[in-house]
Amino acid sequence: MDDRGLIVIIKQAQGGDKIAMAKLLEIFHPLLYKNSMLGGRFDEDLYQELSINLIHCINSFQFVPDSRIYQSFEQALKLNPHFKGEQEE
Amino acid sequence: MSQLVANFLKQHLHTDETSSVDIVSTHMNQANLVKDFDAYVYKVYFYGYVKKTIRYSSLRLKQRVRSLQENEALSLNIIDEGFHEERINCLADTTSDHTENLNQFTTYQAACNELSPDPMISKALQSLTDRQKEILYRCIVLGESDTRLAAEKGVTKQGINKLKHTALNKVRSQIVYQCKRVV
Repeated sequence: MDDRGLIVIIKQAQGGDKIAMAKLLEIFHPLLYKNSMLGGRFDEDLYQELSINLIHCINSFQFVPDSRIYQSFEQALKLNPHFKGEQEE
Repeated sequence: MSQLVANFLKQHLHTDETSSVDIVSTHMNQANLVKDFDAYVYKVYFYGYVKKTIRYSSLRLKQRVRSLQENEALSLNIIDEGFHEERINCLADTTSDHTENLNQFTTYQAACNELSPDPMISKALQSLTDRQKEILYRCIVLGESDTRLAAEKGVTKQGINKLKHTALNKVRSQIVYQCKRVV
């Protein structure tokens, strides 16, 4: 899945789409599984708690980017030879 | 910041090179590229946020589970209907036999008394207390570690060492005393 597709899914999940939320849970399954190991064993209760946390986390996520990222990106585009010609046009 | 941009450009240029498609044609214009970058930053922020939240909540939950295990014991007690006090239920402990321990305890002293055929040494050993006999026998003859004995007796390692030295000194002085008497 590309980055734009992910954003669409996240926004759908935040809007209450259960299928989108299930997809996100599937994407983060390895992370949840890794963090649910207790004493070298997989703990189902912990997995459930973490899944609930993940759902809260997705619902509460707000994208507030730092403006310096875009400044840095613009500078990089100016310096990059691939895009120089494009800008001049 | 610049690392984020560098990773994005590297990823995009790399995919474009491998598919041998001209960069200008894939990214129709700069606006398209900016949109891609937007999505990329969104993804990085989202993944970072989720990863951190899950990691810390997992640590917090694990800590809670551990403290519960440490502080709370499982109880078999049940409360009967119409009776408010709980009935104490116990599991029988079949692992340790206390009579065996008692026998073992008496054998340490007996074994210590029969250590040497020499009556002088045997007499010196008999003058020790039961505790000193046991510690001497187990430390020197059986070669058990001070740490293990200390844990069993509920004293420190230094305490065991002190007891051992006192016992040995007592045996030595007894032997010297008896030698002098003989001479």
